[in-house]
Amino acid sequence: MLKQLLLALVLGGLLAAGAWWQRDRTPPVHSFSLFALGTVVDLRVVADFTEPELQALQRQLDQQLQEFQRRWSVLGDGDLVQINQQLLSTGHAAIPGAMQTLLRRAQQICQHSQGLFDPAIGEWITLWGFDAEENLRSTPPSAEAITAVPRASWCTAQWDTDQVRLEQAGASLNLGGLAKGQAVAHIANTLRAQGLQDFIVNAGGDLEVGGRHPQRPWRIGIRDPRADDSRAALASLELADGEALFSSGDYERYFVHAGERYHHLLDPRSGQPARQATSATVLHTDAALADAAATALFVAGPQAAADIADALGVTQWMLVDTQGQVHGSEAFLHRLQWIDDAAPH
Amino acid sequence: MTLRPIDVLIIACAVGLQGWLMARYWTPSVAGTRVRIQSPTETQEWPLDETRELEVQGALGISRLRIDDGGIRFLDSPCRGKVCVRSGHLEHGGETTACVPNRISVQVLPAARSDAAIDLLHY
Repeated sequence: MLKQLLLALVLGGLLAAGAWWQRDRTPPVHSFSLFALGTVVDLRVVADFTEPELQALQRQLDQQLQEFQRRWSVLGDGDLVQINQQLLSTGHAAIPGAMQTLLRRAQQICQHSQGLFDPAIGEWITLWGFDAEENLRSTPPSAEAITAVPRASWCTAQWDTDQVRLEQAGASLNLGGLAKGQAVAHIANTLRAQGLQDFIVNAGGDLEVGGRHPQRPWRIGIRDPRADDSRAALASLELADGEALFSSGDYERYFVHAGERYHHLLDPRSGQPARQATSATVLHTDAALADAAATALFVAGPQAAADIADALGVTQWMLVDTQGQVHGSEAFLHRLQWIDDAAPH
Repeated sequence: MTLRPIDVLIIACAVGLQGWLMARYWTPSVAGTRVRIQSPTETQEWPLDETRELEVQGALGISRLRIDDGGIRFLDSPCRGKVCVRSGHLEHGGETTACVPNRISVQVLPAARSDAAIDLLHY
């Protein structure tokens, strides 16, 4: 009897000691927010940081984002604004070396998506007032105003070393559907370069994860685009190291006029909001591609989305159509844990 | 009292099992669900189970927020689009919103104890 009691005491003590040891070795999850690219960038980083170390990291990342914004914003007097001024007046522009890689990438995605992702619709975005929150309209522009905008696709832009030429003058670039993904990837790579393996970089709901939560994989909820509770999740999934999840939805920037919702995802073929989907989601290890592909699939709608995804090299995607039906690749849908009765039938 | 080899084996197995279980399943305890509010000058954390109204100084002016019914909402903010106000009531762990022009962000912190916790709501 004494021996069994002794054994129980030893085991109990070991359990308690183990619990304390485990708690002490679990690093905290730090959260902080940065503002850039017209959105809020929330970071969650697992690390044994002191407060000064955390503040230094915030300053470094904030500086990177501000530099990125100065280069790619369509507002202010940055590099893209200067490129657009040249394109608007002459149809051709000199592209700084640091911007060529992403702009050539944008052209490649434009071509592979059959023009459904096209950054050269900047003038339409401005006309609709979707270029900045303070410019948001309450009524749609007239059909005449939309058709009056000179149209030139980035898919067919001609490059001559650092010069680019569009089909005609009067069009401008808006990299909103790609630059956010590039910025997220850039921040994630900065964290990795500093030896930080476990994090989430979340730019206005679009994100890339590194590593895992201290106790489990990172678990992400996917918003139901038409839930009464505007933030309720449709499903959730666990993300692995390096995976990025981007969505385009008609709930992000929009106004309602005469009972109709006018959102910011314009169809490059018409200059009107695309009407066949309420959200499109793409999972990929390339955050910039995931960002642009989500826009292209949203515009494509349920009939064409699979072909466009194939052409873009996207194997994990989901689209919710205007009837609330869920479409997507098996590779992605099988990863989802559906909430309530949201699963596709 | 002497320990037989079988007793030593039992203890060794128990220690090993305990270590594995701790590494796999143990989660540090945290208080109930809370919200983190970041402004240009400070970061605040509040429990979501206590009703209160907050006035937070931002880059443009004061944003008013209310905590009630286990969640938080922007009541008003000095921005034109009022996207933050339209975000409505946030109560699920991982939900975020922000008044970008006023540089104020709100994040409902996930309950770390729950295995079903969502770290972030993607939208």
